[in-house]
Amino acid sequence: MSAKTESQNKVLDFTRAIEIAESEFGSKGPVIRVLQAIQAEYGFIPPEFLPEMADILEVPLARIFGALTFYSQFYTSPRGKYVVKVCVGTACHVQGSKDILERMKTELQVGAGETTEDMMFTLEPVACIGSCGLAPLCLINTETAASVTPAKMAEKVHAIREREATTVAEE
Amino acid sequence: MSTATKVATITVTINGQTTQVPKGTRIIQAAQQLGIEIPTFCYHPRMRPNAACRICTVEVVKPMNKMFMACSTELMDGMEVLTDSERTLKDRQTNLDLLLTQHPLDCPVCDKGGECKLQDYSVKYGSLENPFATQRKDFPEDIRSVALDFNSNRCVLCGACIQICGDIQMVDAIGFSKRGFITVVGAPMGEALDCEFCGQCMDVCPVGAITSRFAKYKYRPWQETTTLTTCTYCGCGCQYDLRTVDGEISRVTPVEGVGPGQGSLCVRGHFGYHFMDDPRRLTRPLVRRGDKLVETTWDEALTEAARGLARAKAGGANRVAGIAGGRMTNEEIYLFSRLVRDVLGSPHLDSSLRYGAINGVTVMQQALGVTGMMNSFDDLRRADSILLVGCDITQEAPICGLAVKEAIKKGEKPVLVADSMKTEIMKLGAARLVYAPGTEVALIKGLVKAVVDEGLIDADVAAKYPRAVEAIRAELSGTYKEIETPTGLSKADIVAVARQFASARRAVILAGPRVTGGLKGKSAMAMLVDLAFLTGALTTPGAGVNAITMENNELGLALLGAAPELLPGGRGWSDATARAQVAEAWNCTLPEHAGDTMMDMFEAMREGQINAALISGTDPVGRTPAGAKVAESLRALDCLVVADLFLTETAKCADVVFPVRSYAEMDGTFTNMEGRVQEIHSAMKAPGKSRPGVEVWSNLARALDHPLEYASAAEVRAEAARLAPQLATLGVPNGASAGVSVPTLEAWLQGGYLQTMNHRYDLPAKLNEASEHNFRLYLGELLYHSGSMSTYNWGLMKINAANELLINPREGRKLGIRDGDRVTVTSQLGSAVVVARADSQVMPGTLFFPRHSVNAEMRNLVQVVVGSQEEGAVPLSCLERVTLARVAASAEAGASA
Repeated sequence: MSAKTESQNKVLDFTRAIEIAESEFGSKGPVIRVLQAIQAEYGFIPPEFLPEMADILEVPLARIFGALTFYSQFYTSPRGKYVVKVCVGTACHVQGSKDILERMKTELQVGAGETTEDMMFTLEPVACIGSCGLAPLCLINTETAASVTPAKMAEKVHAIREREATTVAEE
Repeated sequence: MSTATKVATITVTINGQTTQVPKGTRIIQAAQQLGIEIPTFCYHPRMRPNAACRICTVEVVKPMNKMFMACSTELMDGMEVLTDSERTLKDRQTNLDLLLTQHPLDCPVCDKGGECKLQDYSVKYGSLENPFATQRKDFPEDIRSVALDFNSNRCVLCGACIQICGDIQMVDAIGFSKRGFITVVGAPMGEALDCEFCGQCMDVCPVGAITSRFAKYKYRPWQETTTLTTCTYCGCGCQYDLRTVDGEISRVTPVEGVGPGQGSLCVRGHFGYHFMDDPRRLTRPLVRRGDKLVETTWDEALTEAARGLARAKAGGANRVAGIAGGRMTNEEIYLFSRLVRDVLGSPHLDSSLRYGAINGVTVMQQALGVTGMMNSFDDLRRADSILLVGCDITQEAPICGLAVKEAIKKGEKPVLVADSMKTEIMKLGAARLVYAPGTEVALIKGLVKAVVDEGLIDADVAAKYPRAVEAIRAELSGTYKEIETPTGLSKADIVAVARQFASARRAVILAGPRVTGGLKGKSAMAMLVDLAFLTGALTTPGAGVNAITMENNELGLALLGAAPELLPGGRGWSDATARAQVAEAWNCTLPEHAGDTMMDMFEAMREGQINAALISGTDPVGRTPAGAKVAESLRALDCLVVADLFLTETAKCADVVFPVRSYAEMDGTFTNMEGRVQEIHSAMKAPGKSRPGVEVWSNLARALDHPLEYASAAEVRAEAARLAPQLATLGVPNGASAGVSVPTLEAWLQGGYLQTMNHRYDLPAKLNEASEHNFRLYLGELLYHSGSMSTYNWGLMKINAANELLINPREGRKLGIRDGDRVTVTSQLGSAVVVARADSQVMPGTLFFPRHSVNAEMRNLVQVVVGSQEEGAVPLSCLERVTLARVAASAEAGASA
C-alpha cells in the first residue's frame, strides 16, 4: 500500500487535465466525458483536481463528485499498469472463477480491488463481461483471456512479469 | 394577465369525485385541490417533480388500468384515478416496508419525531409485520458543520434537499455520493458542509436526516406554540413560524406559499433567533450617575428623560433631535416621529434611512410617486430581463435574490449584472460588467448614453416626450473615454448590456446600496430612472426601476416620514399641502424649514447647537463608519435618551436608556421593500421590565405633559394610516407593478426632473489615487449579518463572525498574505489589524470588509462625509462606504487560527 500513498502524495502535473476540462467548457453534459478523458490520461482521477474542474466547467463540485462516486468505472487512486479483471458472474462462477480469483490473489499478493506495490498489477473481480460462452473469462487490460484455468492465468502473469523485467533491463 | 393564452380545461375523476382542472395539472395537484392526501417524500410544490421516492404511486383505471406516479403524471381528459384502491394501498405498503428495512427507527431521539412523514405514513399506511429482512445502515452522524447535522441512516434518498439546493437556492452545496445501499447525501469530497446555511435542505427533508444543530434536542413538535410573524433582518420581510416551548424560542420554520419568500428562508431568518433571549438584553431602565449607568425604575427614567428634553427645548425646539432605526415597527416609528415633531416640536428628525436607501427612496418618491419598490418579487420572478446595478442581491436581500434566481431559471439567463465585485449572482447571470469600486455613476451614465447613442430609446417614449428625451441627450455629449477610464469597462461591453436590457419587454432594474449609498447616490438613482424611462420600463406592466432597502423596516421609516425631507405618507417636506395635513391631524404647527440630516445633526451636537437627542432602534456609534466621531458628538449632548434591546455603543453614551421589546415580544407591523405591511406578534417572554416602544413613547409624551394615549399597537396604526394610507392594507405589495401613472410621470418630467438635470450627469471627482493608499477599502453587506441585532446572535456569529478582511487571492499571494494571517490596514484616518482571507469575489485593487462588523477600528478607517450640497437645492449628506487604504502583512505576531 505504501507505493500507492507515495504516488498519491506526489504532486501531479494537471496541465493536461486543465486542457481536457477547458476543451469541454460549455458543451452539453461534459462531466462524464471529462472524467473519462482524465482517467485515460492519468490512469485514475486525482480527487484534488475536482475543485479546479468544477471551476473550469462551471459545474457544481457536488454534481461532479456524485457522478464520480456513482460509477464504478472511475478510480480515485492510481492503478497498476496491468488491470486483471476476473469475471465472477454467474456463468464464470459455475465454471470455477472463484479458484481463478484465489490463485490471482496469491500470485499477485494482493486482495480483490488492490494494486501490487510495484504498481504493476491491479486485481479486480467484475460481475459480468458479457461473453458467457467463453467462461471462465478474464481480461488483462483490453486483452481477453477466454476459457482459462488458474494455472493458465498464472502463466500469463508470469509472462508479463518477465517481459517487463527485460524491458527494464534493456533500458 | 390579458396576454396569457387560455389553457384548456379537462375533466377528471379522483376517488369518484369529478372535477375540472387546467390541462397540464398533475394527479397530486388535482388530488390536493380536492382535499385528498397522496403521500410523498420528494414532491415539493415549488419544484419540478423529481419522481424519486415512488410513494405517491396511484392506480389509474381509465383510460388504461395501470399504476402511475401522482407527482409526475399529467392528467388526461376523462382520466379516472383511485388513490385508495386495494392495489394502491398495497403498493404504498410495500414501499414503506422496503424503506423501513433500512430505517434506524430511532424516533425517540430524532428531532423529526412527531412531524416526520415516514412516521406518519407508517402509522397510516404501513403494515404491522414487515415481510422483508432488515438491513440497517450504520453511518456515523455527520456533525462537522456549524449549523446542519446529517444523519444518513434516517435518509430515504428522496433527493428533495439536493434539488432545492440546486434549483431554488442555486448553490449546489450538496449532492449524492456513491450508489445503491451506501448512497449518502452531503457536501462533496466527504468534507464538512460549508455553505450559506440557508437551511432549505432541512426544511424539505421529510425525515430527520438533516436537522438544525441549534435546535437539536430542544423541543418535541407537539410541545411547541407556533406564531406566524415577520422576520426582522432585512427588507424582504419573510413570514415564518416562530416556535416556542414555554415562552422560550425553540426554532424558526418556514410556511409554504406564504409571504414574499413563498416559503423560502435564508440563514438569518432560519438561525438568527438567538438575540432575543441573550443574557446581555437590557431588563431595566438605566440612568447616568457620573460616569456610570445604573438601573432604575421606569418612573425615574421617564422623569429624567422628560426633564432633559424639556431643558433643551426651553432653549428652542430645534435644540432637540430624534433618530429612529429601521428595526422599529411602523407603530413605534409613527409615535416616535410624532413625539419629535409634535410633542417636542423639533424639525430634526432623521433615521437609519440616511445610511441606507434614502437617496433611492426619495428619488423614487419624487419621480414615480412610489415609496419603495416599483415592482413586486412576483414581477422579478416573471421578468424578461433584470439589470442589477451595484446590488449583491443574494447577500443584501437573500429572498429577493431567490426571486431573481427564479427568473434566471425560467428564462435563458436574463439577468445582467454590473458590480464592483464578482458576486454570486454575477456568476449565474448572462452578462457581467465588473467596474472599479465607487464608479457606479460613470457606469450608469454609460448605460444611458448607450441607449441614447445606439437608438435604443422606446418608440412610444420618444414620440410622447421628445423634450425630456432631448434634455437627457444634451447631457450625454461627452465621449465614452470619460466612462471607460474610471470604470475600466469597454464601450462594447456597456453597449451590449444596454442593448440586451432595452430589447427585453418586462425589464426590471434593481439598484443596490453601492448605487444609492454613494456620494452621488441621488444622481445615480435618477439616472437609473432615466434609463427605465428611455427604455419604456416605467410604463410597461411588470417592468420598472427599484432601489433595494436593507433594514427590515427601512421602508416604514420612509412611509412614516422619519427623515427631514419626508413626511408621513412618504410625501416630501416641501409639499405644503401635506405639511398642513399633518399639522391638522396632530393639532400642532410644524416648523417652516426642514430639519438637519443625521450627519448635520452630529455636527450641530458637536458645536452645541443641539443639546438633547432621542435615539431608538439604531446604533450609529457601533455600526456605522467613523463611529468614534459620532460618539464624540453624542457625548457633547446635555441629554441623550436611547431606547434599545442591548447596551449598544450608542446606549453607552446615553444619560437615560430605555429597555425595549424585540419583534418577538410585542405586536405591530413592518413594511417590507415591496411595500407590504406585515404583522408581528408577541410570541415569547420579554426580558425583565422591558416595554414595547409604543408604550415607551406614549409614556414619555405623558411625562412631557402632552399625552398620546393608545389602547394597542393596532390603534396607533389606524391613526398613522390616516396620514400614510399605505399602512391601511396588510400583506400586499404597494408599488406600481402595472407601470407608473401618466400624470405622475408627466409631473416629474416637467418638474423635478428638469430641475435636477443640470448636475445629474456630472461625474464626481475620483478618489485621490496619487496617494500611497492604493487599495479601495469597501464596507459592504454580508449575507450573515444585517444591522446590529445579527451580531448579538451567537448562532450567526458562529457561522460567520463578520470580522474578516477579504482580499483578491492573486493579490494576497503577491503580498505574501495567507488565509488567516493578521494584516494591518491603513487609511488616512488611522490603521487597524484584522484577519485576512482570500476571496475570488473581490477584484484586484479592492479590499472588502463587512459593514456590520463589531470591529470599530476597521469602520473608523472610512470617513464621514458631511453636508455635501452635491445636488443643488436638496441638502444631502451621506456616509461614504469606500476609502483608499493600504494593506500589509501585520508585523504583529504570525498567523492566527
